[in-house]
Amino acid sequence: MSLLDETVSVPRRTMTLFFMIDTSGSMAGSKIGAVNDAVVNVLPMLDEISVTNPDAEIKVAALEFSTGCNWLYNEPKLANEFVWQDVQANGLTSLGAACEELENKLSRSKGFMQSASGSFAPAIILLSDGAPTDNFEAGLAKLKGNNWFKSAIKVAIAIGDDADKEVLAKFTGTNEAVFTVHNIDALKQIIRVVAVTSSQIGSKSSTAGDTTKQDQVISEVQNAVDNIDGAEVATKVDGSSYADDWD
Amino acid sequence: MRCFDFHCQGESHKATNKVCQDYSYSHIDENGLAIAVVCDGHGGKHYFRSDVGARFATEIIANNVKEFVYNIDETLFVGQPFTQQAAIQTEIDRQDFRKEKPIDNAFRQLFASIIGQWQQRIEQHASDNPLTEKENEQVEEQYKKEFLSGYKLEKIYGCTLMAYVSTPKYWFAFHLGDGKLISFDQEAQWNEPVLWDDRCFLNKTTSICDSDALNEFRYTYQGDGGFPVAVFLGSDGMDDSFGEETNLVNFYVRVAKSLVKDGFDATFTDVKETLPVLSKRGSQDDMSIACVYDEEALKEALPKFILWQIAITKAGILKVNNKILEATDRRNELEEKVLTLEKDKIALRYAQNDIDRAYTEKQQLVKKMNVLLEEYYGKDFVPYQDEVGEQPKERQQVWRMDDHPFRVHLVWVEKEL
Repeated sequence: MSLLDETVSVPRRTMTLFFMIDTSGSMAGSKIGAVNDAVVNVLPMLDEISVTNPDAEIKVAALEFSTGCNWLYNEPKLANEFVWQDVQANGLTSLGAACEELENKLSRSKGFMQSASGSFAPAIILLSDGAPTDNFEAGLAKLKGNNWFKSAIKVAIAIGDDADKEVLAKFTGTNEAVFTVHNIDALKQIIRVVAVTSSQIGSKSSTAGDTTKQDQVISEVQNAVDNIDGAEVATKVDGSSYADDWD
Repeated sequence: MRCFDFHCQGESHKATNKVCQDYSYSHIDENGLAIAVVCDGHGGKHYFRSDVGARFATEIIANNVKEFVYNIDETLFVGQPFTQQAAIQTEIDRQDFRKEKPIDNAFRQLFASIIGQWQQRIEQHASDNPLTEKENEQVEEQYKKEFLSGYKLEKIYGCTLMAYVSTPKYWFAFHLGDGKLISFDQEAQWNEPVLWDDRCFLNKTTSICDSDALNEFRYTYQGDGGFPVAVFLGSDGMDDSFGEETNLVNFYVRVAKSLVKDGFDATFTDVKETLPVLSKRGSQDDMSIACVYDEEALKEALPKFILWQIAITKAGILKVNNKILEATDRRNELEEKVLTLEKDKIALRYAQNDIDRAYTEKQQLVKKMNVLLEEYYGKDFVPYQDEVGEQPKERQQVWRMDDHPFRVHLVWVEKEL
């Protein structure tokens, strides 16, 4: 007689993918349009990873920040149930407030997370085209004390030359996890690559090893970036190979 | 008193042809000294002999504990109330130092001895066992170099450890790293007797291979006559399979009930069959379990174990009922509106999804509840019912989306009933 009868629950493990999207005024037009399109198109791919992955199901949460910040939904949704509501661009860049808000939700008691047993570390993708207009350092300091954030896969996408890559590197913990894009197609492609790679690696069982999941994601995205025209690793020392083209 | 233990290769280790890195042990001697140990060797390429490290740690703990118990002045324990001691590193972080009794010095000596002997044993093993062909093929160059030079050798063999020890007059338990140690008392109340270490989070854990491992031991003891009815030790492969801690506890309750109803042999066979299945369905990790229990006390506590399960199931149903009521209010409110905003259409869809999912969850919980009610009250039990009830059939609907599945153009369709 099995001990796993109807009185025993064995839930699937969960990995949550967070999008943090800059919706300040400078994102208006083609940039925000590309972000909306790219996320809509990547959701079915995340669903497929979730459905075919025996290790964990993938949930998605999205936080937009401009003058203040706002969650698209008040809980993470399964990838196949996430209905993207096109975000609009206007206002300032409250990245510090967004960091604080993310910190609030990266907890079990008051936030989006479940028990650490049965969860994988989250993946967080930050997209921005500018520099914070609020107290980013204070928000980030708070976030850096959070265990979920410490363990998370963190990748940032710098949209254009005006994005403050130093700030994004502070967020991810390394400038190797910051990728710059210079045109619409590159932006769409990099969102897909980063979201899919983070979800694939983040939702797989692994044991304590020497290569962190973040390092694995960085390595795979760096390889992919070589084949995306208009995208590059932000650390490139010999200057950018591309000029911004957002028309 | 009786005991058992079992460890098995995890599903992900089978897939990658990696050996089981867990090890377990349990024994009760003629004087009533019961020992249960679980050690979990680290995964990752760096820790390519952690299976050996876990086995050594288990054997060394068993030997050292026997020596400790038979040589220590037992008056150190006798009369002591239930006492939990955090890792010294935690005390340093909190600036709250509590290890001041002779018993604390005794534990420190025990732990120092375990670490010291483990280090000697792995050094000897490394010296006696050059890299195998398989290790040569699989291990990255930098780790081979470390192995050959002896630098960071303990990392290569690293593991976590936990132990429960019971004598006729007192008991104690200690833990270094992750995994869970759960105890049950006569009232079927469960407890995690050894304090948790917050540094163990997701796949990060403290370890016997840490440079300050001696300061990372947490321990608990009691010598005032109070004893657990049953204690279960499980590696993190176990608790990662169950998510919420009450699910893990519920599984142990299921095992405890089986020990009483089906007997030791049948239950142990079931455990051996279940753990590989659990690894496949759950964490994919290696699995280990060790248990010490008082047969008579467990038998007496059986009805209370069932009542505990009924209580947590009831709590689950109430939580789901609240979700149903809240989502139904949301849906009804939206249905009264003419929905022109995209946002409202999405909200309506989510409300209906939430209702459907909550009713499905409730069905499973009610099924579980009825099994438990029958177990407790017998065949004449009254099946569970409540005011919220089941989902009205006319309201069972599913969403189908048009050709752009992740955007907001939505169509209602009736579910086939």
